[in-house]
Amino acid sequence: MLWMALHFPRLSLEIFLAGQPKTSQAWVVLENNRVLEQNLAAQNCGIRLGSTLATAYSIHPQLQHRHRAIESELEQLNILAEMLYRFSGQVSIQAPDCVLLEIGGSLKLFLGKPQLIHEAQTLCLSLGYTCSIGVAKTPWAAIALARSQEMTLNDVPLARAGLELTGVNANTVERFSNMGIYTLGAVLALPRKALGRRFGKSLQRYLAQLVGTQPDPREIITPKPNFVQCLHLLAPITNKNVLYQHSHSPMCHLSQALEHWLVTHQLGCHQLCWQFLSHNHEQVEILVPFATGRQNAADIIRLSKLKLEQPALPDEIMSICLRAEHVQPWEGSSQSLFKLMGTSEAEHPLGDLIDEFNARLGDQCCQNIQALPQHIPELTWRKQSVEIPTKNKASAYVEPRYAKQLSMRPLWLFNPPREIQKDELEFLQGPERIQSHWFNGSEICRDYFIAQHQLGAQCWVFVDQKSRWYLHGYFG
Amino acid sequence: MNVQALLQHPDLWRAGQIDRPSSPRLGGVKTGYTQLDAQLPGNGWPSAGLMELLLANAGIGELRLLAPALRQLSEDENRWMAWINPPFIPYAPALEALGINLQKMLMIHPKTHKDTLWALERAVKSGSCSSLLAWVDEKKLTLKDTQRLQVAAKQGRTLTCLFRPQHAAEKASMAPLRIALHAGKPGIVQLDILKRRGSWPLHNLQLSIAQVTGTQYQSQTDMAQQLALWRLAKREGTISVRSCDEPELTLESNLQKTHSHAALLTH
Repeated sequence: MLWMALHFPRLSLEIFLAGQPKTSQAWVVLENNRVLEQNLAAQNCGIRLGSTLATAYSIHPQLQHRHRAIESELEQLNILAEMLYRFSGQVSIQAPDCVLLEIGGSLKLFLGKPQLIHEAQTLCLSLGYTCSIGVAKTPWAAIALARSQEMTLNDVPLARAGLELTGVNANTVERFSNMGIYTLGAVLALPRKALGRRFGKSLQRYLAQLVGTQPDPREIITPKPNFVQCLHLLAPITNKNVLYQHSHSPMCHLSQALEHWLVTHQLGCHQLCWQFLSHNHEQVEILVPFATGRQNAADIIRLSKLKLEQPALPDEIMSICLRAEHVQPWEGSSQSLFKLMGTSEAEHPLGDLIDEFNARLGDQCCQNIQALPQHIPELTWRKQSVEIPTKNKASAYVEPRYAKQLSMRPLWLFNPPREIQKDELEFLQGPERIQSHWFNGSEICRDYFIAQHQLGAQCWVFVDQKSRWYLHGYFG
Repeated sequence: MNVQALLQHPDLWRAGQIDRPSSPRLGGVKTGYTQLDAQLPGNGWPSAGLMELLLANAGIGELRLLAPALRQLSEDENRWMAWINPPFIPYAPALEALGINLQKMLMIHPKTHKDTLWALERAVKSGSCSSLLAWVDEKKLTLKDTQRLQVAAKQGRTLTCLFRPQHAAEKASMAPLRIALHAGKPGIVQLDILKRRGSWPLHNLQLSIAQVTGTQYQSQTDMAQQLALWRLAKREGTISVRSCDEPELTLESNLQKTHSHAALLTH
């Protein structure tokens, strides 16, 4: 067993700032009316951690502040844990600010520890969260290592880790410091039995779990089966471009989160829904369907952008929600080993074009036609929405059922047939009688001819029972 | 580089090549008509580039002219055949009978001219269409649009065909191949190549589209005569019906009626 702990030192602040458009404003988070966390702008103004709100405002009057939201921190920690699920099957949460992963089984897949650490760190950063990572043989050791790295000291040996950063409760830490003991190493050097007598069972258990003499079972998270994520903006957005233009824009942030979620679950998104909410609860929903399953955040943004060009959004957008509506198991595509020059299937998947057309021109603009085994000409074809042949439902080319015998059918059809004057026609072949539907009362009885029109077009005309002539198609 | 190598350069065009406008570089899509292949640069439709078919009116064989090439292109598994704004309904059974794979056909109906041009350019540029047939609002189509399309078509390696009315021949266009179609005798289409790369325009090329696409007529007897005969038979049928005080019925329904009578009798 090898444990990796991810510690999010700035979680209380980053839950507010992640995904927001870039801002140069100073931000602080308060706990008990004192500054708990601040962003770089606030730090540059000279605000210290632990100072009161009044002091902070006197230093920088334009300061923005929020009170600490422990519930949403925990919620966000859950989301982060879910994102990290892609690296390991055993992910658990250590409130208030750590996520634990068992990585012993993942090392080979992710090409070793340094690579895995790097990937996990990049993933968190791309979601807008800074993290420090510790790897050790036991969960508590990993947590202690991860937490002690926040002092920008990398590779702290476990013995040097400060007591206040470990899982020891605050009372005990104070009693230890009164005794002049500040580090884990110093505590571990003391006789374990005597410590247990003085400080109680909990410390004894903690130390045993830390060094690995006692098992440390953890509750493993189960990822949620659906994806819904909301982003509440700090300042309203009025300009559409701000929503998606930069890589830090709110929509990019959400689609990035969706991508991670989809990768984790090995799913492809077939339809998603954007929700834009304004101050006065005005709500606009935009559905983005995809012809094939999608995972890539860039694709999602590109197609959503096309879709956003038409509808009117609320004037002042306050929150944005992203929901994955239809998901299906992901179908990977394999590329040929010796890729030939020029275009290949991997470069231009068939679904891309359809998605773009659907997004820009409306849902029903792309269609296929299909031949049906019917007798009446207008019933032998059907429009249908485009189906993309995939590996799972491979569509073999079906030999046409009526090849040859229908060589005398026009390539263009009029629906409905147009009335025509018989004098304009010169007959070439016929008649061919098509009669059907006598069984349900709406009998159709037509005699079809091939004729040439005065203007040169070859027509498919018919005469009905009342001797009226109709043009039903062109031999295009 | 010696002179011989220079002379082989595909960009170099010499007047001596005037009668055989073929160049190995422009691998065209076989039209299916040997007569026409011989006249086109690359021995076929341009596999990457814009072409225009100018028609006086629809239904004179424009689709059958392209059908052999479309059949060939529809075998490409990974690319669409896009039809943008077709004026009528492409009739599925007939297309199937010509061997065109309907699953590869993509019909697109943009609502505005602007959207049409966008869709055209997007489809052509994307490289995921092997061919594209488009019908565009002629009044709004400008020279610049054709230029954009031509550039995009080269990029995406798409056989792009614009259908335009006959009078568009007077308007300038950047399409390197422009062909005017005229209706000839039934089953035959007359081509005027108005513009082609590497050679002069060509007039009055006759192609038997019915023969190549297997859509010739079985009987070429005097239709008027046949029709008259049929009429006669029909009238007799109705007369016999009239005697039964049912004046509006035709021959066919009368036949059915006698059938049902017979059925009743057997019961």
